[in-house]
Order: sequence, then structure tokens, then C-alpha cells
Amino acid sequence: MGIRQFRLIVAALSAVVLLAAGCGDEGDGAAEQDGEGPFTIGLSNGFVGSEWRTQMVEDVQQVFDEYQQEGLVDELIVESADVDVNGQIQQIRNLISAGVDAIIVNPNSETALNAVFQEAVDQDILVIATDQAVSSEVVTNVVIDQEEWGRRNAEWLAAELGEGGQIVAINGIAGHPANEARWTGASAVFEEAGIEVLTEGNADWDQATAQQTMSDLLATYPDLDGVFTQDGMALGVYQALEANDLLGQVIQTGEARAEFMFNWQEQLEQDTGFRSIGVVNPPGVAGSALRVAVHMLQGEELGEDALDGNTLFVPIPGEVTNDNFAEWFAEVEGQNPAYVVDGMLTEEEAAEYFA
Amino acid sequence: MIDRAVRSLTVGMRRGLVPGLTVTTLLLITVAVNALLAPNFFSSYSVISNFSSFVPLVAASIAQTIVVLGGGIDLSLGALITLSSVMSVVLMEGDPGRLPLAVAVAIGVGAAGGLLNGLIVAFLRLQPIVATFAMSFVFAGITLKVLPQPGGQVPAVMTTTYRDSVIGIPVAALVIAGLYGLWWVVKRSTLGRHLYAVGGDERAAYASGVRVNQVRVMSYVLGGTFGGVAALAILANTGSGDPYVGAAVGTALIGGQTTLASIAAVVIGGTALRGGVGGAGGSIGGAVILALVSNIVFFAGISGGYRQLINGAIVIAALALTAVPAFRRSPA
Amino acid sequence: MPFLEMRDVHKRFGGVVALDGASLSAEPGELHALLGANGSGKSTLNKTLTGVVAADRAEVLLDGQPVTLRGPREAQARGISAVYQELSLVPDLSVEDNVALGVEPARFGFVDRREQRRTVRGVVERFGSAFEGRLPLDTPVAGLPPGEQQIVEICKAVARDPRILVLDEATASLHEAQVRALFEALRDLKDRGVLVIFTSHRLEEVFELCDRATVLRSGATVGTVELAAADQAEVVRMMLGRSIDRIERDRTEAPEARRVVLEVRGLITDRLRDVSFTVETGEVLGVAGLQGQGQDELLEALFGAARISSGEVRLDGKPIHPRSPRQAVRERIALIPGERAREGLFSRRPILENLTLASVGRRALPGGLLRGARERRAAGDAVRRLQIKLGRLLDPVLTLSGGNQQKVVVGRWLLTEPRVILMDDPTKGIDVGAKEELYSSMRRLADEGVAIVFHSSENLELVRLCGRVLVLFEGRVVQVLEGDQVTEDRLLEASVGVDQVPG
Repeated sequence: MGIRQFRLIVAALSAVVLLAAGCGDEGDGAAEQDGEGPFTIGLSNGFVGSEWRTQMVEDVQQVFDEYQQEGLVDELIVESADVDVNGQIQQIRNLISAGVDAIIVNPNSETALNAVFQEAVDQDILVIATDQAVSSEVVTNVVIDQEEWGRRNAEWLAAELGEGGQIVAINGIAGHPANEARWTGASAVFEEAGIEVLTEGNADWDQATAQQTMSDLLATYPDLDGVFTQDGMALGVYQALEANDLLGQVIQTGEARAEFMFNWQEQLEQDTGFRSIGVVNPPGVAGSALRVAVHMLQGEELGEDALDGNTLFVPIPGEVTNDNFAEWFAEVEGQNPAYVVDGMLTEEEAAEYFA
Repeated sequence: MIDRAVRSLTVGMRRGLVPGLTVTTLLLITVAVNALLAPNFFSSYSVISNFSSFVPLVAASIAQTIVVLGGGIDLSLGALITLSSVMSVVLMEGDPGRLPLAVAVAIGVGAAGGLLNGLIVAFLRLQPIVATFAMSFVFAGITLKVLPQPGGQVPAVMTTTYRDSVIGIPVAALVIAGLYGLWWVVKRSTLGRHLYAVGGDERAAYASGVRVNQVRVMSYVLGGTFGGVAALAILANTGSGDPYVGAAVGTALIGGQTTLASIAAVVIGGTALRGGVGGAGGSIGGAVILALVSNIVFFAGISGGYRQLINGAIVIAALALTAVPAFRRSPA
Repeated sequence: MPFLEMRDVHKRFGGVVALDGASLSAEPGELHALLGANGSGKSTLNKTLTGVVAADRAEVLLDGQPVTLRGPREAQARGISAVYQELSLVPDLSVEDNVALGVEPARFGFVDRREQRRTVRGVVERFGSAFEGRLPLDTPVAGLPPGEQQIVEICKAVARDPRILVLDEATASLHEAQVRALFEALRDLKDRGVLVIFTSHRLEEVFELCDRATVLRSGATVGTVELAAADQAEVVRMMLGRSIDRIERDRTEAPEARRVVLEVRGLITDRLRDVSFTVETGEVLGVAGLQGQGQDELLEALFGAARISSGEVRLDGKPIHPRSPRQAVRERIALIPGERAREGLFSRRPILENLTLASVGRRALPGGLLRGARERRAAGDAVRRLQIKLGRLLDPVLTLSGGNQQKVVVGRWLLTEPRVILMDDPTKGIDVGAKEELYSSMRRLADEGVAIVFHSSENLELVRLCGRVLVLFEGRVVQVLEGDQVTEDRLLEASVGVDQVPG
């Protein structure tokens, strides 16, 4: 009896598959990359849990609108949801099926999307990874240099503390490429400058975890001079220091995010001797990626020195310090607390890469 | 004639060979809606890529089904799958000659992890939900030791074969059929029968002379083995290793997403979480439904943020639908 | 040298001693009864023999060889199989799969379905008359009525081809035809040299079926008797350790101040057709009928657990609309269910909690805070009034014997100080002594002015306790017997609808 049913199922499944296969080949429809607009753009974003990503999507939309005015692009398909890598592969396959000309992707994995990128490129779709570089050779990365980001934070902290300073590091998710790149940049600086890193912990870019970790570390290392941390966690570190009355004594790296800067502003007003640094990590990098994509779709080629391998590093827009605080503060004042200081390539700056 | 067919169908449903009415209905609806909305749903690329997307979750949901049927649950499944995948990819190093070894390792790691879970649950008498949750961190920790950062290369032959088709049938679809065949074998074995008995009523099974502990351990071992297949499917699908492959971005919970999705697929498929009722046929349907719903959300232009909400609604709907006849049946 | 010999068996559950040096000795081809009041250790002794319970200390000899039985699997390997009081069936598996469970014919690790069907069919066919001629091999056991489930359980034991077959209260949920089919099968097994160990609270059955009986009391063996040469009174005396009075009517005469408490008019539910009656203070109103004529549903409807489609229920003249048990409890109506394991008890929770559960709100401080001392006092009161035999109040209920568990259910409702108590066959599966105690509790409650609606499947009880009995047949009240009319004969006649047939 069971056998009969099994056969039935197999028959039904095969019928579906054969039908599907039979219907194939009529609409294998990615557009040709012929340099003729208007182009359809797909954006794949696998994480929606932060203001940074929201700003990123808005920045892409803004650049898209600009091109649409010019008639260069006609449709932007945004695929933005919390997914794991498997889910993002599906996102990208859907974009391929929808017949886009280019895919801008903020990848959930440095490596595990390579196979699906190959699928896209096989159908003549341009793929640009942004925010986070991927290892695939068929993809162009448009990112800021995370290693440099770490380095600039570290250089400032090392200068503040001087040789022999003792610090702890509170990093993001262990194994995450951005985290590793930043720490690679920073730790090299610390070694060079004679800063002693007492320990390195992971708070997974989570503010509350960072606060807890910092409190624990303060109890373990009473002679601490400074803290190296990253965006998303800086405020947690700040709160732990504040609770222990150590603001201004234990120096921390900060972030260019409105809420952190509001606190920073308060400290400046009260003249407590608090000092920090917020190296900008701009959501606009994805807007920059779209600019690069549209140039490439039109058949332009990137200049030889623009690329490092297949990666185009766009410049970090700047860093917030006590010296230039007022300038940057003007940008975030009145914004919602999660707002991140932003910046992206202008059309002219983008064009220069294709010179 | 007709009522004979209906009867044999209902018997089949109960035996877990034929997916239930609920999941079949939901499956037909999602396929129909998807075909309507997606522009090239029947193009060969679309068919192949869809089936490729299904396989990892299909394998994971069969794994979860087996454990759940036996009265347990495996919250470490996603982490174990990730561990299998990174162990395997580290050994492969992109070398096609090492493929057999890597396959054996993926399956072996899955089975060994399952064995560990099973021994803990059966002999330390820890609650499965607690024990496997704890084990998920153990597996996650080892995963990060083995492959701290994304990397490793799957041989091209594996990724291209996975995307190929044989006489018009996608290889991925054949893999799903093969997985179903394996489940059928499990189901027909004495062990499979005892799995249902232990999940249905552990004390009754014990009193009937079933080796309850052995069956529980084996349910996790089999689950882990199917998990190993899921790991291979992930590697074929992604072409590389990544410790966070089954995790939502921004969380350090390795494999968390895979675990949750596998449980959702089991529930949609009509397998009772209390154990003893259901089968992997329904779970395969459940896994496919979950994947198709993501497509529908995409092609309908609904904001991606609603995907979780819709998935949740489908799980609830599936539960509610299966509950209807139970309400109608008057207590004996 | 006896075929089976159990000596000096000891077992403790928590604080309760279940077996205290019990012994048993029996021969092949014998129908051997195991008798004793509830809590005397019958079930535990049975389970020790079948390996389900590990005795603290025991000597078991089979064919003169000492054996240790670690688990049912080992017991089965030695040819011992069992039919338990709590069914050992997996509800979602089919009859066939259940009967074969644990002994499936297998080839290369796969179930040989054809062979399985052949052997299972052979066993189940022997009980064909118990299934009304059907052979429900593919039906999940959850879909069978309780009696048929019990038969499946028996088939399962028989399918193992045992040398020793243990039946523990296997007839409790069987109707007459099923009992006949069972007895026939058991005599057949006896003829084939099987030793059957039979436990039942229905003494008549034991006398009808068995050759010898071993009597247990308080966990120890009192003696073994040849049943052909003994009478029931003698055996009961052995069980109780004292003699009980022969059946006598135990009804109170109507006191002057009686008034109607509960009035039901034109009640219609899924299974009830136009049921009307009244109950007065201090009355024990009987509800009789064959199994499944709507008795359960009547009590459930009054308790708010079954949907009422039309009809009127008045309590003290005031109309009430029982829609949930919670509401019924608030109106001070209590339901004492018969099947304790399924319906009332939280077996892993302490006795204390189980006793105080339904009435906890009455003693709590505003805001729902509990006062421990008060809870303990209330529980202690119930334990005393019902003479519940326990270790500590905080032990889980499952450490108690069956009869004592039933008393806990009664105690729970006593503590709500009910005006109306609905009793759904509360003595089912309870031994004689425990029944007596329950009867006297009922008497006392009635004397306090509580109205009791008492459904029983044992007509003798109704004769003894009720001044008035409603007889249900297919959801209707076919007769109301009063006073001297309430006799076993009249009840039986009315139940099978004899009076309905003209002429």
C-alpha cells in the first residue's frame, strides 16, 4: 500500500519537474549588458536591524532618483530583510529572475555568496558588493577600508595614551570579516606604538553586551588607561565608564553616531575633560557603489589605480574629534539618536575613478 | 474505487508517507501564487535555482522531523550543520580529489554530533530542549575554532553539478527525491516504527519491550546524519565555508536561523511537536513553502520586513488547520 | 518445584511502602488470581514480575532458576507479558502496529509488513466478537472505544506467545460480550499450558474464571486459596482483614426540611434528549444506564464542560448558564471524575497542591497571595476526613496507590464546600474498602445538606445509596425509579429498555 503511494508521489513530483523544465527556455531573461539604458537595479540587503542599514537603503534610493531624472535607470528593486546566508542567496536569485541589470549587495558573508554571484555574472548581470568586501573575483567591491578605519581609531588612542598605555579591546562578532579587518589594522598600530593590549573581548556589536563586558573588565583591570571599541558598542562602554566615574580618565574610542555625540556634547558643555574619536563609517558607501555600478553599466572601465585587486576603496569621509566636534555636531543635531554621520561619492568624484 | 483511494490516502497520511492535506493545500497555494507573481517562474534558471535553494532546508527539516517524531527536539541542529560544513570545506580545499573524503566527513560529523546529543538526552536524562540548546554553543565554539573566518573553497565540480540538470530534471530536485527515499527507508525500518512508538508514548513503548534509550539516541544520530547532508547542500549552494552561514546577520548564534526554520517546516508539515505523529513528507513540503513564501514576498513587492511576520502567520495557520478535525472529533 | 515462585518482594515509592515481603507461587496451565484491596500492592507485584518496576529486594524463580528482570524487554525474553491497568498502547499507532510493537517481524532491519499482518490478524481474529465483528487493524488505537483498546492491549500480550500472561484490571472497561471473548481466550491459553495471573476488582469474575487466588494485604501475602472450595465472603475477609456487612440499604429517610436545589428542564445537548429532573438538599440522586447512554454528558453539561443547546438549569430557583467549569465552581457545583489519571490529577505535583487546587482562591489573601499554613491546614483536613494514606503532603500524587489518588480528587472538591456534587462513576476501579469510605463520605455530605448526583456503572451501589434513580437510554430519561422500586432487577430492565417495548 505504501509502495503505491510512494510511486504516486514520485510520479507527481516528476510531472511537476518535467512540466517546469518543459516550460523553460522561453524567458531566460536577464537583460543584455549592452551599455544601453535605462537599467534596472537590484539591491540586496540581508539585515534590517539597524539605522545604519536604513540610511544605506535611503542613500541608494537618493542616488537612484538622481539617475532616474537623467533617464539612466528605470527601476530599483530593493530586497531588504533579516536573512541568513541561505536567505540572501535566495534574495539574489530572485533579483536574477526579476531580470535586473546590476545587483548592489551588502553581503552577509565574505565567501558563501560566491556561487550565487557566479550565477548572476553568468547571466551578464553586474554585481557590486558594498560595505563588506567579498572574495569572489567576478564581483567589484566598493567599500571603505575597514583596516584603515581600525587604524585611524587606534592611532588616535595611541597618541592620547602614549607609549606604555594599557588598554582593553571590545570588538564585534568574532570571525566577522569587518571585525577582523578593523582589529588587524588597530592591533598593528598598538604594537608599533608600544600600547599594551591587556585583553580582547567580543560584544557582538551589541550595546548592552558591551556595557556588561566593560563593567567586568573594569573590575578585572583597575589600572586601565584606555578602551578600543567599535561603532554600536561605544555608547555601552561610555555608560560603563560613566557608572564607574571614569569618563575622562579611561579614554575610549567612540563613534560618529548621534546618540553618542549627544553625550559627548554634554561632556564638552560641562568641560569634564572627556575626549574621544568617531571615525565615520558611512552608510552612503552603498550610494557610492550605485554610482560606480551605473558607470560600469554604461560600458566605462575603472582606471588602473582605482582598484586594489577587485576592490575599490572609497575614502573615509572623516573623523569626529574634540577639535572639530562642533562642525560635525551640526550635522546630527536634531536627528534621531540612531542617525549615523554620512557621506558618499559625488558624481564627479565617482567619474574620476573611470578616468 | 474512490473511497478506497481516499482510505489508502488517509492511511498513508497517518503513516507519514503522504503529506497531510494542510501542507498540500498550502504548497499548492504558494506554488500557484509564486508562478503568478514571478515573471520567469518556469524558466530553467528559475526552476534550478529554486530547487537549489530548497535543498539545505529540506535536509535540515527531515533531520528535525526524525528527532521530533522520537519525542525530542534538536536546537543544536543549525550549529551542527554549520560545524559539518566548515569541517568538510576545510578538508576539501577546493580539491575535487578530496570530495569523497569531505562528504564522508560532513556526514560523519553530523552523525557524531547527533550521537553526542542523543547520549546526553537519553542517559543524562536532560530535557532535550535544554541539552541541545547547550550543545548548540559547544558546536558553535568548535565551528569557530575550525574556521574562525569565512573561507575555504568548494571544488567547482560540486557547485556546477549541483546547478546542473539531468534530462531536464534539476540535480537539486533529484537530491530532494533521494532524501525522501532515504526517509522512506528509515520509516520502513523497525527503528522507524519504534521511533513513532517512543515519540507517541514513551512509557507504552518501554512496556512493550522497545529499547527506548537506544531509539532516542538513534533518532539524534539519524537527525545528525541528515544534518550532514544539509551541510553538503549548503556548501554546494554557497561554494564556500562560513561559520555564520546559518545565522541571522548581527547575531552570534551560529546556525540559529537554520534551526528555527527547520522547526517551522516541521510544524507546517503537520508533525506534532509532542512527537509520534507526522512524517518527513510534510516537512519537505513545509521547507519548500517557507522558501516559496520568501519569493512571494519579494515578487509581490512587500517590504522584506514582513517576511518573518508572514512566516509566523503560516506556521500558526498550519497549526490551526490541523487542529480543526481534532476539534470536530468527539472524545471517545 | 513450582513453575513461578516470587519470594520476599519489597518495594517503596517515596514514603509509601507498596510491597513488604509479598510472595506468589503458581503453576503452568493455571488461571491464578491476585487479589487485594487497592493499595495492597497487587499492581506493584505484577509490575515487578513484568520488569516495569524494579523491586528494592526480591527473589524470583522461574522453573526453579533464579532470574533478575531488568525491564520489560528481559521479562518478555523469558516469556512474561502483561496487560496493564494503564494501557501500554501508543495512541497514534494503528492496532496492527501496536500489537506488533517490540516484536515486529523484521528482515534486514525492515518491518515485514505482510508477515506482521498475518500474525497480528491471527491473534485479533480470536477476539473478533469483542470488536463487533470488525477487524480494525488499520485504525489508530486512539480512535477506538476504551473497551476495544483494552482488547487490543490483550491481543498485544497474547501476540508475544507468553508462558506467563499477567492481566491487571484488564476487564474494568470491558462490556459483557468482550469479557466473554476474553475469558474464552484465557481458558484456551490455560489449556495450552500458559500461566495466567489475573487481577480484577470484580470478585464474581475471579470466582468464575480462576482456579486459585493469592490474596495480598498491605504489601504482604495473606494466603492462597482454592477458589472452588472458598466463598466470596471468606475472600473479602482475607482482603480486608475484617468482615464487612452484607449489602444493606444506606439511604436516609427524607428529612422535613428538604427543598429543591437543582432543577433541570428540557436539557438538550449533542447526546442528551430533553432531560428534566430535580435534586433536593441531602439527596443522592442516582443516574443509571448501560455504558455510554449520556450519563457522562449529563454531568459534564451541568459542570459547564459540555455545550448545552437548549434547556434550563436552575440553582436554588435562580437560572444559571454553566458555560465553563470555572463558572460552575463559582456556583459551588463540583464534579468528581471517575478516571482519575486522565481527568483530575497533576500526578507529578505535590498532594497538597492537588488537594487545594480548586479552592485555593477562597483562602488566598487579596491579590492572590497564598498563606502556607492555611493551605496545609485545609489539605490536612481533607486527608483526615477521607483517611488518605500518604507519606508526606509534599510528595507527588503518583506516589499514592490508585484508591488514595481517587480520594485526593474527592478531597479537592470537598474543600470547595460544594452545594451540588456531581459524581461520575467515582468507584470505578476502586477496591471494596475504599468504596466503603467513599460511601460514608457521601452519606456525611448528604447529611450536611449537599445535593449529590451520582452516576455509577454498578447498579448495586445505586440500590444501596439512592432513593431515586434516573435511568438513561440513548440520551433520554426512560424511567425514574423511586424508593422500593430501586432494585438491581428493575435497574437492569430499565437500562436495556425492557419497559419501552410494548407487550
